[in-house]
Amino acid sequence: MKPMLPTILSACLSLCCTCASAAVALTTLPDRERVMIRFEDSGQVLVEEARTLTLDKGTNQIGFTWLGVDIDRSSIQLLGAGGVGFNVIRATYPPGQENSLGWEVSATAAGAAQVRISYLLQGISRELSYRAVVSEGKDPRLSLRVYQRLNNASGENYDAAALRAAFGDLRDSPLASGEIRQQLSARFLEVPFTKRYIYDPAKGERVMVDYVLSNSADGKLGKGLLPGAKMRIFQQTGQSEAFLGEDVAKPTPLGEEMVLHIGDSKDLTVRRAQLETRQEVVQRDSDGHVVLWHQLTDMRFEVENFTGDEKRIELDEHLDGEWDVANPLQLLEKRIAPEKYEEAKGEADPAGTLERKDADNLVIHLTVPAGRRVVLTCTLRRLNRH
Amino acid sequence: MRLLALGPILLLLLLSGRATAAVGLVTIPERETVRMTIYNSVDLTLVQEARTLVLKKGRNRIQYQWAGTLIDTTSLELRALESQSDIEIVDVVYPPSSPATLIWELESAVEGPVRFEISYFTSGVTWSADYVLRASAEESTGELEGWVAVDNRSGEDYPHAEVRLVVGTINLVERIRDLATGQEMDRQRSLNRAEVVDARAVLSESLPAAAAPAVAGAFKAKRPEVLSLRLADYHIFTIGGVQAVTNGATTRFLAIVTKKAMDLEVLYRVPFRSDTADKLYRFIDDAEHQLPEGPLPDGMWHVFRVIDPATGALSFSGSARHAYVSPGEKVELELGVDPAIVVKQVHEAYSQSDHHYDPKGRLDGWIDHDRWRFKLVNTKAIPVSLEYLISGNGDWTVEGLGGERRSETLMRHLDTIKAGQVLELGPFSVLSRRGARGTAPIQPPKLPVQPLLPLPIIRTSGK
Repeated sequence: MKPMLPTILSACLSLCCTCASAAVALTTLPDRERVMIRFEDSGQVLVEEARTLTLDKGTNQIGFTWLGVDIDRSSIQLLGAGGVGFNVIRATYPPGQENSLGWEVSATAAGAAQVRISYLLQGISRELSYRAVVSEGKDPRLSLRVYQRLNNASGENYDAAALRAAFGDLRDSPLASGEIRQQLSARFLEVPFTKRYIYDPAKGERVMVDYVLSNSADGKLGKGLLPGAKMRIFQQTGQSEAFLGEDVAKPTPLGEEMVLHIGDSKDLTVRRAQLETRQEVVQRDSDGHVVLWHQLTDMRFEVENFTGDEKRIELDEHLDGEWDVANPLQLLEKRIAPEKYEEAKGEADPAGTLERKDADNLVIHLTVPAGRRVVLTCTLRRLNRH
Repeated sequence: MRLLALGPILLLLLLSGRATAAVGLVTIPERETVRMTIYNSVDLTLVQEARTLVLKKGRNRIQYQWAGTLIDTTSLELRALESQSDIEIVDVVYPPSSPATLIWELESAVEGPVRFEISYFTSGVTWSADYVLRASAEESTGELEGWVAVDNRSGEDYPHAEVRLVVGTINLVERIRDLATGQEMDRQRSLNRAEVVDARAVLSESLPAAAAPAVAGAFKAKRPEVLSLRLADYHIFTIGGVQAVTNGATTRFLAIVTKKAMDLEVLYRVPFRSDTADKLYRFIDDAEHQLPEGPLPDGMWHVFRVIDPATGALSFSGSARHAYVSPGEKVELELGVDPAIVVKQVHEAYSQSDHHYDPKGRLDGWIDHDRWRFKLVNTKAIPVSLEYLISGNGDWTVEGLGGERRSETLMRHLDTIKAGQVLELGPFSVLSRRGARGTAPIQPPKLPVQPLLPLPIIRTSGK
């Protein structure tokens, strides 16, 4: 059985303007002249068709019917774009025809009217993806490509369509029903990035590796919002590439950092220990019960760098209530035997810093020289408990 | 069978002397005019039909049938539009063997044609409003089209109706649809199949030919004017001319249109602790914004932006439902999160102060201090407005940031940010007084001074 092709039809009927009871006659069935498909960030797809209608002076009936496609009926607009002027008198959705709409328009003269018919169409989707390749060498850079994958499952054929999107360039091309088309939408070369090593006890005993890009002119990006999408990162290895990992990038506005978690580091280790917790009494009541106190916790962090390069790492601590940090001390050590360390006297030891990231998070920034271990001790004070 | 679904049919039967005597069918008058007043808050339409009946002196019987419709039987009224003092309706009869039928019996002192109005409530005809707002490329102005759509599922065609649409909330003690269907069911229960067949046969013989388009000329070859008027505590839109309100069809009319592009305000609403800005278009329903006098009924708004003024190409900004807008009231269309506006709120620190103890030395009150910073980056090419909503609970105040208290739990800070500019607020503190209040606090022990961060770590090696 031959399948019925889904089609969007437009029929223009003219109605004798002197006598409403006169029979209507089909005067023209205009084809689409141009189609623009716009992919919005919200996921909606707006289709605009340009057509030329031949109108009679007076009242004209324009039928718009769609078969096998899912159009948001309430979104359909008919707008004049040139030629004979007209007013839409009324729009009618005929009984029993969910996929049909009739406009009654009043034309000021007989002749051709250029119109745009726009509507929201379901079934066409767009998916963005990034592909990044890290160059070789001491100062590696990223080449970053953005692809837009267009999937036309709407049931409608578009032989030639102007494709537009809120982000990136799309080339005008046909988009047949059932077709998936992937276009290279944007390309950024020589993009600098930094690696960030993060230890977060809430995420397990591991050191996460993040790649951080800056959406700015200095960061060789900065052309606008970078949309959220999956990014796959590869390492250039001679003539081939190795896959490093992937992450879903969050939408990144101008001036912000795009942070991509690509995996864990095995050659940078952290051991976190809670050595002792004690109470410092602030106030007792008349019966001698403690009613206000500080809770003090002695902490020890051991960060060991098994690589041949100096690494910077962030140790996250999650705290609540009122808190501060007392007595932070840092010691640089070198391994002299398995499980045995001694102080690395006379070696360069960049001082770490403590940062109150916000009311609930402390970040300890440490720099660990190649092949060395840094031991940090401090006291976390949770104040004014009651 | 087909005829039973054709809606109200009026038969005029004249009785000579005694009401029980059978008489022949004299005439079936057509509707001369129909006025439909459609309410949007409830499923209710008042239909007023004008017909001319030819009366004889004495007792006249007028039969009215409405099978297949959703008419509320209790609302049916017949009223003479002329010679009222000579005409008296003396009885209304619902024959037991005829579903959806009534007979008015009236005494007339006049003879000849008399204009009557038959009115009733029906359900199944509804109307709704929807809007298209097209903002300019820079979003500083916009053009509005407000449409009203009349949807007829009543079972009855009204090919030439004056249509009035009422905006307002009216009280009904019973739903018209329940009244219509309930009555229909009650009455049909007592019928048997033979009676129904007989009734339909009578109707098929008596049905008039298709109504001539007597008022077809009233269809205007131009857009019908839609007038908005106040009606008691409601508003009423009157659609000019006569319209076809066809059963099963929905017809949309352009009711509200801006005379020229109106000014739009682009507002971003940022809730406390949120890192996203909700975009809103805001304007006032008034003449200054090129809008005709009258309210904007509740409905769905589709919002577009012209992205290429040369071609008029559009971008879809979003859809939002908006409640009824009184004349002079503001319209706020929520368009969702706009990534072009970057917001960061940082809860920098928390601390306590003013610990208070009862006479037994137990802690019974203190003040929480939450320190915040707010930053908004406007990456758009237009200035935008900010509505920052700070929330708290209990006895709370804000220090270091101006604003207007909107409720017990909400303070509003308003600002504007130029194109490409950054707004930074704070640090400001939210102070929340907890526990006992109203008495002078007992001085607590001196707390150690908290070190400020970032703080260098003391190195013990590598010096």
